[in-house]
Amino acid sequence: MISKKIDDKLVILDLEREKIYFLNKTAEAVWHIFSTKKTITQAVKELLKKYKVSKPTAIKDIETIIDKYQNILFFSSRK
Amino acid sequence: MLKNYTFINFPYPFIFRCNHHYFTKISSEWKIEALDNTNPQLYISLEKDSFIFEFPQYSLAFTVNRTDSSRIFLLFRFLIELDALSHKVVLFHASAINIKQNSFIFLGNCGDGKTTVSKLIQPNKILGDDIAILKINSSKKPINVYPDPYLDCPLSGIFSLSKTSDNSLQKLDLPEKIHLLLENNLLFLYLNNPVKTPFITDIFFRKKKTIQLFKTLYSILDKTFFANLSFNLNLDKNTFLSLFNNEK
Repeated sequence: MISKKIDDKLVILDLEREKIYFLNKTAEAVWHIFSTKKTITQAVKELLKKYKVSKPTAIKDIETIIDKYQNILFFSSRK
Repeated sequence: MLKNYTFINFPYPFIFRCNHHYFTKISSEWKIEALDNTNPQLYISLEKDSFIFEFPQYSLAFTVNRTDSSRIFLLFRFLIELDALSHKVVLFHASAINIKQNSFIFLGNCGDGKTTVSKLIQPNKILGDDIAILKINSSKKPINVYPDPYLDCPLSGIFSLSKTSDNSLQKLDLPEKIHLLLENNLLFLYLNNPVKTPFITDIFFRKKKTIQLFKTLYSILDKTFFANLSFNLNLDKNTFLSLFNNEK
């Protein structure tokens, strides 16, 4: 997979699945978190540390993003 | 079969010596040689009812039925684009025009109005009617539009087209921009369609070249204004330029 930041979006090319993903800022943050933290609890803690969001919002965001981008979240990020 | 296309003013030392002559006059065998008189880069030989292409640089060889001339042209163009990519040159199915210091390209399928728009705008120069050749320079330099290397033609805008009742511009979002570039790039379509390019048996070669292509396309996305041009037959140069200057 290759990724590149364009127009405030992270574009990820996934040749294995022949898909291109466009990640907004929240999705990008979660993607980077999951490249080092592997559980939802760890990801929520990291998100709360980095951003001013409530815990329920952080959990909801992460669940939504996992649901949408589950194919790419468990790969390490590369620039 | 190459009459609509010119590869003479290519933006880098072109490895093929190719012209119409090779395709119309010689009946038995073509040897297309490197311009610097090193080893030939592409061999085309004629069997009883088929052409055999050999491309030693990439260890590729394939056979094409002699009667299928459009396929021969597309495969030949695929090889040219494959080579061009290593020079950071990409080709698009588009018309290209130059107005003073600005160049614009219009991408689209046959019938979308690429030629019509070029004629309505009456540019200083038409750079290409069916193929736009873009040379990606280093990060600070603009992208150049070829095939004329003697004109300083930095790329100012890339447009998709739609025929409507009024003249207007609509900015494209990122997925639309990428989709527009990919669907008008033969190299991408062929690299990712093994049915069209069965002679490429190495899957890593396809992936490597696709990634290289994407990195080049990202440079275009980074530097260029994109929009959809809705137009009618009253479009002229001043209308186009004022729409562009208002939106960019």
